Amino acid sequence: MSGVAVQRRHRIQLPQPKKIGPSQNPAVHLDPFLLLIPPVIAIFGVIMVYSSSKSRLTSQGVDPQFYLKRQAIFLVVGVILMVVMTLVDYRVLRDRPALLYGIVLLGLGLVLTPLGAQKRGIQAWYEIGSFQLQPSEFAKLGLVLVLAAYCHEHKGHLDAWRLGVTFVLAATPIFILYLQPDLGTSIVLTVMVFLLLLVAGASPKHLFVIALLGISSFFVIVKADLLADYQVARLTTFVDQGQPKDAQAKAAAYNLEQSKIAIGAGGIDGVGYGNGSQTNLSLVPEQHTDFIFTAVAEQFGFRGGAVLLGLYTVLCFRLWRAARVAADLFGALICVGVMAMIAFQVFQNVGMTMGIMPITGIPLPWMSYGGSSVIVSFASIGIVVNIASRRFAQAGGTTRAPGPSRQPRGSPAR
Amino acid sequence: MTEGNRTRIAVVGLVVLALFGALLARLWFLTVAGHETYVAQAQQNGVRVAFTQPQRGIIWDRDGKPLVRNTTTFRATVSRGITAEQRHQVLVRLSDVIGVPKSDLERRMNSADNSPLLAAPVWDEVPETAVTYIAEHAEEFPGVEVAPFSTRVYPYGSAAAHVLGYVGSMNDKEYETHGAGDEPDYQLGDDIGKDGVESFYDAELRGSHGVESLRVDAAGRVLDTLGSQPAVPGNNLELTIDLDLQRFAEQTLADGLALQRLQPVLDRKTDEPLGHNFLAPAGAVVVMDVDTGAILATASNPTYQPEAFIGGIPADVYQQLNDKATYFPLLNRVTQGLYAPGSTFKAVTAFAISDAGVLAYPWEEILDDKGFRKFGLEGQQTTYRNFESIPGGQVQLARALQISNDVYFYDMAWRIVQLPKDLNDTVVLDDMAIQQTARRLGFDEPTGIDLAGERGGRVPDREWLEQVNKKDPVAFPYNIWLGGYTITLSVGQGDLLATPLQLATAYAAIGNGGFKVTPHVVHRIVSPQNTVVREIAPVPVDVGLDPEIRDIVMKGLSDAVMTDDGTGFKAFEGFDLGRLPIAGKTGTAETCTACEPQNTAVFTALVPANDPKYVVTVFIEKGDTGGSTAAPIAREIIEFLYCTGGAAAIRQPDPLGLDQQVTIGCPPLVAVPAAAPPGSDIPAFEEIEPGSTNAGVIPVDGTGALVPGLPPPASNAPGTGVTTPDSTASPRRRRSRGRRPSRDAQTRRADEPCAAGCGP
Repeated sequence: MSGVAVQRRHRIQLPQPKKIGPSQNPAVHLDPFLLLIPPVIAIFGVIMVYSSSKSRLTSQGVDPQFYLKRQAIFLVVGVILMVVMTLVDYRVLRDRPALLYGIVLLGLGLVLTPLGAQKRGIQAWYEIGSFQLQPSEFAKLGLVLVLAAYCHEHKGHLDAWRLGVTFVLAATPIFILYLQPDLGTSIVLTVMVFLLLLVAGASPKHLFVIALLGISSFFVIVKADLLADYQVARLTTFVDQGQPKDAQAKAAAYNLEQSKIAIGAGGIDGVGYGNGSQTNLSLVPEQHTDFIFTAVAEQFGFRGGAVLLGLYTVLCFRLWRAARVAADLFGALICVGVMAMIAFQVFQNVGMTMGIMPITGIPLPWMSYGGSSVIVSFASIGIVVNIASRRFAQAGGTTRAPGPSRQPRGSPAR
Repeated sequence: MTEGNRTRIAVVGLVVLALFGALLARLWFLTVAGHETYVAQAQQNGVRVAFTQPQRGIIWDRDGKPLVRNTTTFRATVSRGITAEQRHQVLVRLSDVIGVPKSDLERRMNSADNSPLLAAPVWDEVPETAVTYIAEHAEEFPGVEVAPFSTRVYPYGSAAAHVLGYVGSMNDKEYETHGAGDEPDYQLGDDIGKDGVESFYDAELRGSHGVESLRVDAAGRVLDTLGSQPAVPGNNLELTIDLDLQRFAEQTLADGLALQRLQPVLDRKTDEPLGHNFLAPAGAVVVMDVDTGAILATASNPTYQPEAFIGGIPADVYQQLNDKATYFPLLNRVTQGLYAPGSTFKAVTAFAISDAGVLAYPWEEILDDKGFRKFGLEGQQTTYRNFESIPGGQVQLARALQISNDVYFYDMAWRIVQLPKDLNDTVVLDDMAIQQTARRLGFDEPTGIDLAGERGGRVPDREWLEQVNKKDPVAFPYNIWLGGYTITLSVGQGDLLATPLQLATAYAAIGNGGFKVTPHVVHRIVSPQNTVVREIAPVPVDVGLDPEIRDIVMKGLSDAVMTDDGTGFKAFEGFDLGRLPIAGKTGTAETCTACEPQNTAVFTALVPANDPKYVVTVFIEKGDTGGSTAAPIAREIIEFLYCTGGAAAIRQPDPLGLDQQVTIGCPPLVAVPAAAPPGSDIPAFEEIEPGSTNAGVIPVDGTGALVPGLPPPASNAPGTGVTTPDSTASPRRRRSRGRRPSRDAQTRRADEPCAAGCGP
């Protein structure tokens, strides 16, 4: 559908005189879907954060608009960052992967020191004034950039050795996340890295081995008591729904039960904004963050949920398309990474609220309350818009000679 | 970028599309397919049904004085869902705010009768400032709830404790018997009456729970009320008890016991002191209307404070109330104490011997009593003796009752034993006549009084003996009913056991001419709107007492008190028996034959003797004789009864400020120049001023005429001359052989302003 639109625009450009190829000006090729959908989702998110937090905040005697206001600030900051990321040529990011990687590791590492703040037993935040900065969110984007740069440098020729290097590159931050512990983000990173390597050109044989390794290590971690009880309980609740074995499992089962009730109570049309007993009675724990989708489904029903999922689908399609049309492997891999990040987070988060995925603390991009997630998501989209808009542009500001594979391409392959 | 890269991107795109498709399918499944289920769950989710406690009914005495009221306090509870650490912190803060040590809160929290399913109560009387503070700082008190809570108040302390009973949390067993939650008015954590009328009339008193349907959030905070049905207060009880008489009876019983404990026990034969005093640990008093069975007063000593049960009784205190060493204060001896009634039972035997036909009209058969008699076949005779083997001389039935002659009744019992038998030695005519008559008069089964836990006593007969022998051959080695058993039964000894109330009921039947009444302590059940729900008026049952024998028995009982060789005479010396004739029977039940003479001392009186209105029964454990220990207590109660009945009591404003008058004393009913018919108003007493020095005697002027303004003395009034306070007191001192302190109105008022019972 969008493909058709692209072709149509291409056709319109053809009759232009004096212009043999598409314009080199990136501004001409800005993707309106990519630029508009995230802010639309984010504005909707602000509205839903308010509806899901106001009764809880009221009963605590706090300003009911507390989360609303803060999320609005994150939205503005995020949009600004997205615009900034769109303006600067993405290729500058390609040249300093080591520096970028260093920053990622430093950010993740320092949070484990007393510089980081602890909340509910998890050391994953920096306190900056009244705001918290969550380096793991930034690490997602950082790792995508680093791996994309590494694969680009080797032109996608990933033999076993290079695959090993990428494996180490990815495993180090994942391990630090495990120490925080931030199970959800490490799972997102793993999936992201896997898809990225798949697209980058790792051989199916190697990928199979990696997948096998990943799955078996996951079971080892779950079974070998390397996780806290509540983590295991959350992961396994969706398997044996209804028969909680202990207190942790009960708490996780309660979460899931309340979440499913909220979604199911919505019906086709939902109960309307601001209604919803599950939401207004604060029955769904963490509703304004991880379980924000339940507020959407309860208040706007199947239609509301489907529209939201539709927006994510269109967004992912545009990301996918950006990957296909990217001027270089670096750009394409970033697009794939960002798409994997967004798509997997949506699937994992929404799936968790509906009981088809284990419970992990993964935010729903732009919807869940949380500054770091919103800002990083916007920034990621900014970079992808950048990549897509510069698919015809000659390399600028790069010190390296363009590789032979970096042929500008005007449209998806037929 | 290679084509390979693009292909792989396409694959990734398809995977993402598949994932999103799965999400959409699942969303459809939940929101559309499962909608109804989840909506139902959501509706229940935030709704909690809460029961509100109704006010328990009030219990008044017959004049409307509240014996039990309610007061509303604030009770703090702590949820059982919080962690031990949180609980610790919460208790520390609560102890700070309420101002009681944490250990007290913990003790209340761990009280045995708290329901494990409900939040644990930690304090029942949270001051209002603390209530406000806790409400305003809810976040500092996780799991704490403070709610109004109604508790019982006993304005008169232990007065009528055994009648009222007490209230406590429903235990598991009571919960089960009341439908385990199916009965809406019996929910876990509810209070329930545990004894006395609180238990017997629990269904009336408890009222109906209110139901509140509340919307709550995940933290259990109440957001609003969806619907509510108010609690219905319980019905109130109006007792037949007269609080003044009740308190006086309790005090008199307590005093009488205390006095008895000062008396040395004398050897039976030599009259030498044995070196220790009577134990007199316990006693019982019952005053009952002989026509209706309405109980005016009933005292059981030792007693207890029902207040102790409010908010859960500590286990050690409860243990003390149920301990042998303290003589079981919780036991209501009037309905639960089992005693051998002793010679008071002879009145029952008197009817039995006529029923069995062993004494024939005109009933005046005279026996010559030498103090003992031998019964049985030649060679295996057993000697049965009078009390202290005193010979009775020429005795017929009335005389036998008057002087409590044993041999007369032994002889009559022996005649019953010897009723003709057939060849197989089985009885043709029933030789269980005494038992049958006893049962007709209410022995061997509970009287049916409206108090919880009444016992039925025991009338031994052949069947009973066979049964217990079969059950426990060691304790009861014989299974053949011997003639001797009937002989001992005839004088109220042996295996016969009866409660004081059973004896009172039997005497009431004798007094009212043969109607067995059902004793009751509740007069009316009154709704909260002050309408009478039910009147308790059990219909007396005609048990068919031979009226001629009844007259003889009444004569015997009257003579026992009113003639100077009657066994009850000494206790009533100086009492104006002419104005208020009294019939009575003493009983001295030997609890064991070989051991020292500490007996169950019994006295039961019918007043007035000519047309009995009340029966007054007194039992004292381990006392002296019925005449010396029990009868004086009965006398004081009768005096009080008739002075309150005549509205001549010395009254003062209620010390509790309940806008009532209480009787604090009463002039003794002594020989006075003028007397009104007993039972009616005694106008002569009306002018007595509480402060006057000659309170207790009829004010007369120097000529012996009554103070002007009062009706003239009745012409048929017995008694002569003016009685001074001195002459009032002295005969009573004599009666108690100088050991009993003078208890006339003057000294009572001077020394014990609260003689009518300020509570122990």
